[in-house]
Amino acid sequence: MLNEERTILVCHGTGCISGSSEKIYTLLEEDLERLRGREKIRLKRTGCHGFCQQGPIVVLEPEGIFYSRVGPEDTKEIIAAALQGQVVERLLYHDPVTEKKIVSYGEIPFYSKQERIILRNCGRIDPEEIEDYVGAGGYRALARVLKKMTPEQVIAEVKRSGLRGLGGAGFPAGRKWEACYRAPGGEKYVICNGDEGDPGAFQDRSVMEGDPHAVLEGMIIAGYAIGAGKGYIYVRAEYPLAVKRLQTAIDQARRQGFLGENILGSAFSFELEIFQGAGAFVCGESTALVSSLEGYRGLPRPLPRPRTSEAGLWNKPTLLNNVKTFASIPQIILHGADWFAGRGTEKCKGTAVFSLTGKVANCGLIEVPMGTSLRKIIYEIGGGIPEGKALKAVQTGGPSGGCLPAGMLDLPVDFDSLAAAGSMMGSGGMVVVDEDTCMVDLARYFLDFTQRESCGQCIPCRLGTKQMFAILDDITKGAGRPGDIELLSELGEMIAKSSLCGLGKTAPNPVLTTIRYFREEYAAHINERRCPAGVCQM
Amino acid sequence: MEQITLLVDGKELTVQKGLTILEAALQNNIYIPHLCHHPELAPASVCRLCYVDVGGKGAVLSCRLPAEQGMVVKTRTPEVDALRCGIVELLVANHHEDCRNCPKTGRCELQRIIAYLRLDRKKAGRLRPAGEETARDVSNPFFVLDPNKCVLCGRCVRTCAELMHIDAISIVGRGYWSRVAPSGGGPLARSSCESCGECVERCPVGALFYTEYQRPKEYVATVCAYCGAGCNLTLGLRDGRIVGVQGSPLCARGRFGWRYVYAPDRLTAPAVKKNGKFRETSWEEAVRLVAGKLSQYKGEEFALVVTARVTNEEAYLIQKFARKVMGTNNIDNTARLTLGDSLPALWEATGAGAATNSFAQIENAAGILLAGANLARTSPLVARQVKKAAVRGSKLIVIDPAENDLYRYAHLWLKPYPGTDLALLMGMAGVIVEEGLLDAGFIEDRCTNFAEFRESLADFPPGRVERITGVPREMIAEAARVFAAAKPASILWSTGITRYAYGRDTVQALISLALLTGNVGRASAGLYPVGEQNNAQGVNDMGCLPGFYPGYHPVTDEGARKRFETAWRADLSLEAGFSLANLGEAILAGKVKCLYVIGANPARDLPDTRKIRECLGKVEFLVVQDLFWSETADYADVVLPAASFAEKEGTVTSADRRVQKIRQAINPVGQSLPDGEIVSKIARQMGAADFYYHPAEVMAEIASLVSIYQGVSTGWLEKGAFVWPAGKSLLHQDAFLTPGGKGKFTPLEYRGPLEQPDLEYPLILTARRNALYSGACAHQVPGLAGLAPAEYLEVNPKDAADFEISDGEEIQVASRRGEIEIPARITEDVPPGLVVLGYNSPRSAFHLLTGAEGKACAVQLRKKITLRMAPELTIS
Repeated sequence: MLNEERTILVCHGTGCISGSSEKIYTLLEEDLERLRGREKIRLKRTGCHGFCQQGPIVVLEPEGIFYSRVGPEDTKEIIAAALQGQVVERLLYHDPVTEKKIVSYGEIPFYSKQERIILRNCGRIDPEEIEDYVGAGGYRALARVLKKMTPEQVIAEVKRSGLRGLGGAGFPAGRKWEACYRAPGGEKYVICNGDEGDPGAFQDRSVMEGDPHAVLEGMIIAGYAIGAGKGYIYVRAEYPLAVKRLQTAIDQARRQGFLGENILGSAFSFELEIFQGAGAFVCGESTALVSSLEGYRGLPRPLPRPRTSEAGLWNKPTLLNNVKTFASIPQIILHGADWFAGRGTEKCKGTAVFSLTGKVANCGLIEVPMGTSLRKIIYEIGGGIPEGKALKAVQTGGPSGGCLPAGMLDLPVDFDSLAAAGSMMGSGGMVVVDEDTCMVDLARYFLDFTQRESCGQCIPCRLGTKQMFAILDDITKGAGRPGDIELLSELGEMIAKSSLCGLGKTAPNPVLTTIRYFREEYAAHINERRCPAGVCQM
Repeated sequence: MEQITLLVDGKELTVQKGLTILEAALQNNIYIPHLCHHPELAPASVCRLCYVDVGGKGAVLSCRLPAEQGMVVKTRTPEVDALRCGIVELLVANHHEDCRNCPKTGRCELQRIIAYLRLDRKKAGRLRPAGEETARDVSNPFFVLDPNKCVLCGRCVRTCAELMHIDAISIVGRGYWSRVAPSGGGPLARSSCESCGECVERCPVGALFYTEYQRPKEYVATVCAYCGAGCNLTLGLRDGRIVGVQGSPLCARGRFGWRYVYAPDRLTAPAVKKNGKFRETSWEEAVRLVAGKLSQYKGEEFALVVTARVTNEEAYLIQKFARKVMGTNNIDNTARLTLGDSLPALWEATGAGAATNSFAQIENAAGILLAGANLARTSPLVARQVKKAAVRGSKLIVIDPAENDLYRYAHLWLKPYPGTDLALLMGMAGVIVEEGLLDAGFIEDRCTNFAEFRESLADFPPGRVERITGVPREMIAEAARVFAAAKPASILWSTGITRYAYGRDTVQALISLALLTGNVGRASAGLYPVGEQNNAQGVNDMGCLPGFYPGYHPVTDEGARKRFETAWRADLSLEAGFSLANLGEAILAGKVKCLYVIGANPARDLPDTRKIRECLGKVEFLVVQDLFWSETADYADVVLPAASFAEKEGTVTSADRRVQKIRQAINPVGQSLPDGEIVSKIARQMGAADFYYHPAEVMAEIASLVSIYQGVSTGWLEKGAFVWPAGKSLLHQDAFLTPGGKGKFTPLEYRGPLEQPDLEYPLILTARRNALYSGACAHQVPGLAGLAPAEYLEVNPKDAADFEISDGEEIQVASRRGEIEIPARITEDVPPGLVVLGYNSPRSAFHLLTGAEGKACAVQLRKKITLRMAPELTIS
């Protein structure tokens, strides 16, 4: 670990900041000063640890002492204990499963069962200090690429790694890179899709906030590989901290010669700019994002059309990848494609990041190898269902995804198996549902979101999602009619087939899967005016 | 073009390669349901209704897939129908379902689709109905926007953007809450909507519909009577009345402006003034009276002013009347108020007094110089050509001291002080010569007089030009370089150039720029003087000019005179007549005593109104002939009612030389008669027995006597437009039409505007037309006038501070000749020292202030002290 000297790491992710970690940092600083510990212990701000439920989080390195739910009143004690080599017992993490206090980071099951490639630096380095990133091996991949590799070799390495786009669709990244590289034309662009709009998903935000340089490094390498001179990071304006940290990172990288003219003395020049979205979920769709970046209303373009890699931003070949995809690149270059491909399954290599939420003991951001089973994620990392309740279902992929019943717990989580089960990887949201959750109400919740976020261009999505929502709303209020289940299925299939873009095509998923796996709940609502979970007031 | 064959519903179709399946099917009368597709618009693929099955592989959108050789297409399969029905059921559930009371019933494309699918309404009944209704936008006087019937196909928005380049409406809101609305919010009437109605024409359902709509039973094809763009339109008739207009593209005046024909203020009977009061009379008495009086003023004591809105045949008869019956060349037309001396200047330099190219060619120009022309307010469809070009990447240079509707499309906007354009253009020419950007080969081979012209450039060093115009020299140089590099480049100009005493010189400077860069005689390299009247070109072609016979033969040219004397069997005057510019002086000097005004309103449209009215008071016998009462009619002895464009036959010539037929659609309103017929009656009464308004016969005489109209025939006109000369839309291609075949440079010197600001009148005033609907006819159209914004005077904040004027304050603007009251609008859009009057009504009192020049004068601003109204403002 890079922190050989004693360091107190104070999480400055959005979650912990809202839990007043900034104040905690200031108090720690004052206390350290007062107790004359400045030379002995360093203080450091970090990005998100992922375990936001336990925030604000303070970690003491190199021991790895993990303090959770720290308050401003705890700072004196923490400093005093640290100076004396002691541990503040009452702030230690309390394992809800074993009912034991756990001292160190590495022993907490939430962390120990994960494998962190994308999130490796999150919570470890100060995202606003480029030296921290460099100290953790940052920009070495870039240097290697520029000095030792041709663009073709970089693309070959990415292809060989088996990395698939982590924005949700899972398109092989190497193939996309190659298509951009091969597309004729001198002017090309790299765009990072940081328009994470799903309710409950925050992994892209955490990476941008916690390890912005990794995203930059991945983008610069991509620029070199495809022959682009300019990149844009499309971030939601609702992520002000991510915007600020990315901008700081860009400025620092430029000062250090990782961005700009003749990067690291090579012939390659690359510039990066942040573009803030205006709060439309649909702008996560590639063509809508490009329209928005061009200054137009963010509307998806109808299929069939040229791929973004052939005609993207201003009709130039454009490489559009997700935040996590870019953040994986430096590791693939540094450790090699084989190292990366050694993780995951036959067809899905590497790791996946999930926002684990809902009725699960440990909520937070997790990273696991592709193909890890739902059971392991929910029970080993997530610590199971609290209060001894029974697991009912898992919703993956956010509003575009589907609901899987408890019986499918051994399903390996990767792009293909989730799709086969009627759900999807999508944004990486994972909501755990227990017996107290009404599946109709859950479907209604997601449809409420998609009908609001439909861009309104095509009729099936504009009117269809609204119609499905209205029917679900009726059902949850006891006004369902016989035939509504069939009507929902009919509408859902029509919308999925005829919508213009991915938003509409996937919008019915939460309804279709809950009907597929929990039809009797719908029937109870409609025929008996009864909500089996006791959620809907009728 | 390569042809391909495909099988649609078992029918073999052979179509052009490159069409989509939908286009191929529709072209061959095979219907595929669709809402968002429109043949003139880019495909949107948002309605998702045009599914077909290709090769049994499942549903695909026929609007996105190109038709290919050997394709097997089925327009209906169970899968396709299921998708379509699902979507249409959603539409029906969300559609205001009162078809019987919908103005689009029977023409509605949604109705057609429902019928095609034999939609089971019960299935749609399973759906949850839409929520509460959204308010309709009824702010526009001509059409209604009803969001409750909108299917959001986007045709209207795309029409506004892609076809009209107006961008007034867009789809606002998201998802279910999306709706068509003005881009900046607010009601349509307060948006940048120009009320052209093109969106209404393309709306498939009842979301956009005309406020007054009656299905026509008959149609009459004719030409729009407003500007010189020469748009074709069809008058829809029902029971002998016009009920609407069809055609596209049109502007608001073209589509809705015909309603002045039925305005209650139309003059319906001749009136004679007796003891200071007018009384109606019969045509016989009026004609006898006029003929008797005119007989007393034959020769130079008589003068005639004619509007540039009469037909070619009428214009020809009217000038023949002045020359043959009255024996004078004292005839001029109102196109002088917009074109100035543009046509004579063009005639001198190129041998043809007309635009060199067609308007259609503008859109392919690589560069456009737009000087002193507010096209979007005078000729919207010419403006559209300019916008189209700019959108395609053409470099547009706008020269205008005041904000102009096209400046948003401009690469450069130069703002010279009013009336200093000549210096600016010569400055540009200087840079082009200095930097060797000229087309030396073109000048050498095809032009004369270049050496003299180049010598005169020495008077225009950059510093002097900057000081005269106020435009930075770097910007002038940039404009020169951009213009010289853009080939082909077109030049358009209007009143900002022509309405100055030395406007002819400035036109010569514009022509010289074109010659200098080889931008004459090539496609899309046009010189376009853009007037405002529909037949500005034609009345000039027909010789309603004091110095020219029909076809631009100078009256001082003996050969020409002899020819017309022979043809008309008359002795013609040897002297050139008075023009509108010096008619006032001639009247005051007692040279002209009798005036015949046809369709013109000098009491309002000529500069220095007070003086003109004094002149009119001095005229011994004044005949006014018009559609409506006018300020000039107040001074008349006899007022004669004229018929409108819809009530007569004839031809008009667009500003790009297209001679087109206008056709009679209705009987003249009241006792009104076509201008040509009235003049003929008077002429016959005066003994000229060969005067008859038989348009075809008159045109035959024109074709035989006027060389540029040679070849025009009734047969040709029935088929379409005749472009003079000899069908050529592009002039001077191999040689100029000048006697030597060469384009002629004119050496120029700078003569500034006649009136300069001084201590007492420290500001320059110019005017900008703010509405499309500011003319006398448009003002008679209910609704059009109401769309215009209020009038105001734009003042720079610095000047406003000096004169202690606040925003919105009603102030007095005074020139050496008069004063008016108007609210001030304080804005940085005008530079210090310049004030701009934004006008929108024919009642505007701008010319109370102006002097000899109709575009600018020196003024002072005063705070309003009393509530007294200037008497000149209260015009009945």
